[in-house]
Amino acid sequence: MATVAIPLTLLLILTGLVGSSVQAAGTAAGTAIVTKAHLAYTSGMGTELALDSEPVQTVVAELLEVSVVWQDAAPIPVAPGASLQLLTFALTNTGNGAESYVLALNHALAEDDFDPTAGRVFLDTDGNGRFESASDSEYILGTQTPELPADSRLLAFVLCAIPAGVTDGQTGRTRLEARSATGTGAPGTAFPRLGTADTDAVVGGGGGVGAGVGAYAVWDIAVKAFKTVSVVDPFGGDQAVPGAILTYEITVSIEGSGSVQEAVFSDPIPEYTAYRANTLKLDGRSLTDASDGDVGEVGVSSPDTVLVKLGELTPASAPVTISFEVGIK
Amino acid sequence: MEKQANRSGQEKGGREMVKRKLVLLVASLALGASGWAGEKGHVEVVSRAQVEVEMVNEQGEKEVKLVKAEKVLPGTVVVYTVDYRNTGAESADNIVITNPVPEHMLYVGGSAEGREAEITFSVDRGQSFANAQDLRIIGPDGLERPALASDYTHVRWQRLGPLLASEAASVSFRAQLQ
Repeated sequence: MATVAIPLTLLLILTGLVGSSVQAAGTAAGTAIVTKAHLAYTSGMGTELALDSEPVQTVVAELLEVSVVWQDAAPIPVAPGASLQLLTFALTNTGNGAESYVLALNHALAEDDFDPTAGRVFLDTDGNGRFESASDSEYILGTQTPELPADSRLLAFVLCAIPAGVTDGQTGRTRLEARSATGTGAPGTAFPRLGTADTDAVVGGGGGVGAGVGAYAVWDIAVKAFKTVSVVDPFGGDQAVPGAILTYEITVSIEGSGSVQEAVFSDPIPEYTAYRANTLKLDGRSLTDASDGDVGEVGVSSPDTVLVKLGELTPASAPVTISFEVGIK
Repeated sequence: MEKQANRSGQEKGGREMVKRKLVLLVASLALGASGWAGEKGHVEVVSRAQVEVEMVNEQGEKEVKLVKAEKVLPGTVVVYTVDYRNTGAESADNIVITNPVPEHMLYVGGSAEGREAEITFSVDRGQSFANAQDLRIIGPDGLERPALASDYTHVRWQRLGPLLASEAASVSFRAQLQ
């Protein structure tokens, strides 16, 4: 039984020829493919004879392939200085044998504005598709993940901190990389007898490495409203009794580093009170109660509600003050 | 149909012989015989599984060579070759070689080769054989359709003439690992 020694360079070409046609896991690594030929004939004496060849066996090698795909539909909105902000990745063993992976995070990517920091990784150990620190185990960077069966998927949760100095609209990206624990390298690189069921492992078209990139976007804007009320009662005092007039004054300001488009102030008239017609003011200037040329209206778009269209607001905008009066019924 | 019935009759006789031959085969292996299976003075048969590899020769030209398929990846096309030879002094007639398409593999359409042999295929695990264009199968939807190469379960070669004393020949087919 002479065995044919295949030099490594030759293996490279061999697998290079087939690697591109491999889509999914395929036949499980370590499977023995066995066949034999059956031959029947008639001898010169007219006797019918038959025989089989010795079985010929080929073993399925392990293909090392992995994919990592970022799962969130859009950049995760974050505030400056926030910690433990979640990105979700799916790790799929696209090879044909059980495989462990070594994961790595890279925050220093090009084409973004800041680098997320302090990355931690949790694996969806309980398989429910959601991050829960109690039931999902933390993956220690540099170790190996549990073995993932061929064609199966595991979610990886990446938690990063956002630097304090970032400003609205900036993006920061984090890359999660998974490397086949058996080995990585140029497509076709072979690891004799290191694959599943002691078969050979061969690096697939992806080099035995998969990576996905997730993104954070800073959403740093807060609308602050400060509301005061003053009371004048019918007797010249300040008691909130029937017949008393309440004057509400609301100061709206913007904090952060972004801008708000088409801001609309909306405030319902309190229960047991009635709006006093033509008392709505913006920065001391009267606005009509009708929905008309000016930016204010009362009870038109929504019953018993004060609406003032403030337009675009930025932290540079001066605070705006809205006031109106109601009477206690 | 008559020919078909006759052939299956031959097969039955053949199967009984196989049992006897297997006993002989075990005996010959125990004696440290070579890889050739079969009774001395008759026909011997050997199967090979190989893959094509592209190599660059000393002249810098690309060459495709066949090497033994020991470990293969999904998607790989394996070339199965059956070598047979007559080691006796008399010719052998009515030679029929049957090879199943191995499990986890799909027959590669048009790949069966064999000089001086009529090639037919089975889609019912070797119960019946027909020319490629005559094979039909019933799909999962219950409708009959022409068989595809990937439906083949067995390949059969019927040698047209006798295999003369000392004559050797081969047949082959290709199958792709799923």
